[in-house]
Amino acid sequence: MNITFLNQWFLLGLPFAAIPIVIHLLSRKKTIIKPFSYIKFISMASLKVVRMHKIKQWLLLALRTLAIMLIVFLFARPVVHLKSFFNRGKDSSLSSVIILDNSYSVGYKSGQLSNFYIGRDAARRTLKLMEKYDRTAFLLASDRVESGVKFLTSDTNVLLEEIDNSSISYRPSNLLPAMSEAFSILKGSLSPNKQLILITDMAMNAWNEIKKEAIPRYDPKVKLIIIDSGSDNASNTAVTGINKGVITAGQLLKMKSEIANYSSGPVSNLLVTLLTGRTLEEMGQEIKADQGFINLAAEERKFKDFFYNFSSEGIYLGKVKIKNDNLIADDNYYFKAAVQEKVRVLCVDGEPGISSFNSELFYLRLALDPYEKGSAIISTTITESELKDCRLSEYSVVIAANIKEFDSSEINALYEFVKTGGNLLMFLGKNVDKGFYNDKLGSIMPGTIQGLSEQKQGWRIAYKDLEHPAIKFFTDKKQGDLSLALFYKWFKFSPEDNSKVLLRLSQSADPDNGNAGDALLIESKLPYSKSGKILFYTSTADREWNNFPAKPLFLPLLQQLISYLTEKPSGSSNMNDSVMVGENIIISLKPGYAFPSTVKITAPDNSVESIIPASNQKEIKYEKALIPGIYTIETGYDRRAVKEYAVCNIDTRSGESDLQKIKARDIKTVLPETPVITISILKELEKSLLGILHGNEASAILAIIIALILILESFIANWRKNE
Amino acid sequence: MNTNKRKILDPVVIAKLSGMLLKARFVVEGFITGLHHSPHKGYSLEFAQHREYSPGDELKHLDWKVYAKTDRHYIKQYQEETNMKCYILLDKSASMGYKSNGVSKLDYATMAAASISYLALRQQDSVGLSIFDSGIVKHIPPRQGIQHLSVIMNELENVTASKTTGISAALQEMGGYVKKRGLVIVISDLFDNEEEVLKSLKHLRFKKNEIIVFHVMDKMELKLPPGESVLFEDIETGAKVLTEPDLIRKEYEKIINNFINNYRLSCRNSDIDYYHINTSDALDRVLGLYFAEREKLK
Repeated sequence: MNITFLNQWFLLGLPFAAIPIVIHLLSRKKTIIKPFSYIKFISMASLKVVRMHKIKQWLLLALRTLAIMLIVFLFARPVVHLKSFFNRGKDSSLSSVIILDNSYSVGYKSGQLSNFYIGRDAARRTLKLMEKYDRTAFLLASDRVESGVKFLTSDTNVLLEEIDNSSISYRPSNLLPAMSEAFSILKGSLSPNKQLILITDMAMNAWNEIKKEAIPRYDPKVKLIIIDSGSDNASNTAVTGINKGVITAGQLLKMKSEIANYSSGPVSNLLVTLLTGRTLEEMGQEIKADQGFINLAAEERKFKDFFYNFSSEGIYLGKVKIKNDNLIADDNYYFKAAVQEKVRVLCVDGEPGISSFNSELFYLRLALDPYEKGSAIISTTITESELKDCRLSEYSVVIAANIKEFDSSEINALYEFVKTGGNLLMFLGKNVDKGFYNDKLGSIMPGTIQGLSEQKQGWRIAYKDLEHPAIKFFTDKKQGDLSLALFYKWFKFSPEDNSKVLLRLSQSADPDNGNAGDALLIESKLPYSKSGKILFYTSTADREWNNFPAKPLFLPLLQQLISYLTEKPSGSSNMNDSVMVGENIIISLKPGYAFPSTVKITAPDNSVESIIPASNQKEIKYEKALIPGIYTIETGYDRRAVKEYAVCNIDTRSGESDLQKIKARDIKTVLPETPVITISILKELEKSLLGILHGNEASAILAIIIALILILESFIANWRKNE
Repeated sequence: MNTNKRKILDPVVIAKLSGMLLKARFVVEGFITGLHHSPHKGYSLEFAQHREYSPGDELKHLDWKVYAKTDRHYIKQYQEETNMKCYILLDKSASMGYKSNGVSKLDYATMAAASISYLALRQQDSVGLSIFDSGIVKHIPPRQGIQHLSVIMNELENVTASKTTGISAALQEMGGYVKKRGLVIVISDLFDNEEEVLKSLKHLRFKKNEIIVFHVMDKMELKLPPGESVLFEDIETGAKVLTEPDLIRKEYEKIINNFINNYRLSCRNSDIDYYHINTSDALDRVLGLYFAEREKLK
């Protein structure tokens, strides 16, 4: 705690505090020596009386000195500054950067207004507390610095205008960019008093990357004042994703939507609704495809199953929504689905048995077509020798299992098949000649076969790339455990740099050991824009080298792999049509075509942006996908107007929906050298801020203390005086 | 020397006391018939009663005046007077030398001792003098006769205050000198261990002696000398204490009064006559009070 004075010249009167001491010294009695007959009784009396008297005298002296000192301080008008924040003299300026959090979590409403508007108001009020010679910058920030006045100014009008124009975003929060910018701004200030005023809901997600090493111009002298605009014990539920799988027209489809409860208490009978439509207009009619209730325990994530029959092929728009809670932004999840006709899969059996049961592909065919002609996948099985006579272009996926050799025409046909958009899924086995595969199939394979690995005890799937669309399905542990399967033999495989390992085997199923395990499923792609996908499985498709085909998860894995392989970019252009808020929607030009004179993009809030591409422009990048919802992109090729859609969702995977607040001690841990004070926005904000920014004038308290001292002095002075 | 004697035997004091009789509280055996009351009625100086003559009585005791009036023979009987041994114990310790005005406690004590000696010797009592500080330094055994007065006066004239007090030791030592019961007069400021002093006094009283304690104090010992900051130096021990007399006066008076009252009460309980004497009081008045008390005992 520091103390400054408004009338510091009065402090020159401090020497007056010595007056009682001087009087005491001057009035000291001269000691005279007197002989006496018997001093025993004098000693006894003296011992009893003088000690108390001396204590009383010293106490009175101290009180009188203190009283005079405090009277001098009273005239000097002391100002107390809390927690050593600022030692401001009257003319000492203050440099501040106000950061206002506008991430989507501050959209939480516990009353009439959202936390963002409360925070914005606090920013306005904070600014008004600044002195005219103070200089301030303002940053509006989520996971990036959205906007602001990025220089220090004493022009409050400029700052107030920027604050008034600020609005909430749908982005997650990450305070690192804003704090880095703020420290950079403050670095240029010559003021000895620098502070960063952070107005945030304290959501823990924002602080994940904060540490002093990560802030380039970190200065421990900069004080951090956090104005907590968040709600205590906030509860929130969110739709965090949807798993569509292969969507085939005319077939009852099971879709899984993930719902998360971020509250500390359970949620019962939460209504979850699936809405679909083929156009934005149909979506506007809120046609319910399916709905149901879900119960969630505290901090639980759960899948809600929907069943729906998409009647015909084409592009569908959809939304999963839950009953609105206090944070509406994450209560909807948009999706776009390409409904296709049944998928045709060619299965090449490298080891056909006498009976179908003994064949290499027995389990695989069952997994592809579990309903026997009722499933979305139509599989055709051929032998190795029949491959050369097949027209691969009639199939979406070719599955090659335990093939000994391919002749050059077959290799070329497969290469051409993949190059033009076909998809290849290869299983290995005892027939595989690693030398032949490495030499002849190098252009297709995502790496090099190293040699056979054999483990009698069996290894398990330890590593799963759960972010990958083909594997994401297994995030939900209730679907089953992939690590239950045991693998006894497989080919060790050395993946290429541009390939991706989706599954790995390891001696134990411990995920920590998985990264170092042997690759089981690898993905690669040919270097062509239109090329299909290649998946490479280093063990067998039957039970010869593993027991996976007999496990329940073999079927969904195969279904997910086929779904992933056959997933087409929807629409007529090559467009990333499902983005997170803040990501760019990129519209790539189709080969042989040119962009029309204008590309019109309509955002969910009906704002329209018309982009005029250059004549040779191959790609349009729309950078304003900042609102969750459905975007309409109107292009035209060959003078035909085409309307396409892209969906944009908020990034719930960032953890922003979790409104749990960071604790003050955790902030102290990440920024140990920074003086931090946290004040609640709801409790006397001005008073708290005034105390911090300018200190609290302590004259009234001082006057009371002086009065108390004088009363005490009077009491002590007269105490036992009359005895 | 004569002048000194006169000074000690202040004529005003002596004049006032000479009309009173110093009598022992209890009858003491003595050799000489004097003013003291004897338990043996016989032929003495003071008439006691008449008794009818019986054969064998000496004719010289026949009261002829009664015979003349009544024509009967009566014999005059007299109370037999005995002389008393009076032991005066005078404290000459250094503390007795303290004085806040012209007369020190020792001066005052010596005058009192001389007065008492003079009176006692005039009444044919034996008077002895013992001077003590930490022990008895001079002992004059009790003698009769006015000529003994000069011996006592010589000693009293030459006494000076010195050394520390040892009253209880002196009283114990005195016990060895007192063979027959008598009157022990202690003149002291009693600045010593109270319990020890009282114990010794009681011991003397236990041996049937009549004890009178003259507790001599200076008025400043009762009230403390004025002053705000005084370094008191003990004239006996040399110890010093710095204090503010004006501040501690009340407490000091409380302590000194307790000290005096303790002696007074303890002496009364032990049938010892205790008199507190202030050196500023007139000596004749104090002695007068004492002898007035003794008159009552007669």
